Amino acid sequence: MLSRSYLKTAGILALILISLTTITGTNISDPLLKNVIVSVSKMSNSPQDNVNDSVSIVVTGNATFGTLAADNILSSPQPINIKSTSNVPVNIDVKALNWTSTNGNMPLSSLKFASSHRAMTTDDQNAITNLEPSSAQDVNLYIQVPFGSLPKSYSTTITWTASQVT
Amino acid sequence: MENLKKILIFALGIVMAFGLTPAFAASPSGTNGVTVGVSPSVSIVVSNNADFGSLAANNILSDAQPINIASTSNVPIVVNVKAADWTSIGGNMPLSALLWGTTPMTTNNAVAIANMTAPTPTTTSAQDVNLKMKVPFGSLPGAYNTTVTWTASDAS
Repeated sequence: MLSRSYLKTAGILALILISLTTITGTNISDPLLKNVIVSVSKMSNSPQDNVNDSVSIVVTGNATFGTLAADNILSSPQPINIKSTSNVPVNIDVKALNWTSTNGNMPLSSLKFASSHRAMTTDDQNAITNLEPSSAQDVNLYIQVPFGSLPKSYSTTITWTASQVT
Repeated sequence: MENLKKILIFALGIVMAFGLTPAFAASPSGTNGVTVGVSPSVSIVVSNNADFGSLAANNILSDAQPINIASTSNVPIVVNVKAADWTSIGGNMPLSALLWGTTPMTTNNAVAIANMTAPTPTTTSAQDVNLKMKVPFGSLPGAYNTTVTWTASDAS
């Protein structure tokens, strides 16, 4: 009498054998196993069916602008690298939290992005259109400190979000 | 230990049979930080030139010519004023003929605005200072020119 655990182990090994057999193309005559093999073979013959659309990015770089004067003059750019690790073209949106500071008064709009120097907001705005899979692109950040911005230290976090191009 | 082996074997079987691959962390979003320090700044913008036209040497105070001083600082400021002596050909009018408010101008700085608040990113801070002329008796006829200098300093 075979023990219950032995049967389980045997079943598992059989499953592995089935899989290996599918890969190597060995024929198995048992009808039950055939059904399993057919099902697995179908998946391996249509590999595209198993690859889902994936949308992901990697953001590299923190922007440190040092100390700027409140002179309403655009700073030098600080590039942020956005790399798509998706397998489909994506659009990239950007938004930021309001500045964190102690009693500061500088508006978030002092933070600009892209060559058009668009003002950052707390709502998503398009930053990159149609970024191809496995490609990367820099987006420049700028600061334009308005007159009257109190001398403080300001920090924020920018969020870049990818979505599949429809 | 034996159970662990069985579990691993089972997991491997599932992976091989169904083509599953381990899921690595991938996210459709990413973040980066931004930091900036804003330094104290003291600056002003002076608008207008004062042109009094032709005045009589009658020791009477002229109409005011407003000069606008706008702070573009981010700290409170003190604004001083001074002027160069008159430039003229053969003239003899003293610089004190020029007044800011009711105070005669000198070549040394004097406080014109004692405590001017800083603007904010959404509001301005500006003030007019009136210049006047009081041409003394005996001042020779001629054209007189000078340059007035306004200097801001941190009042905080």
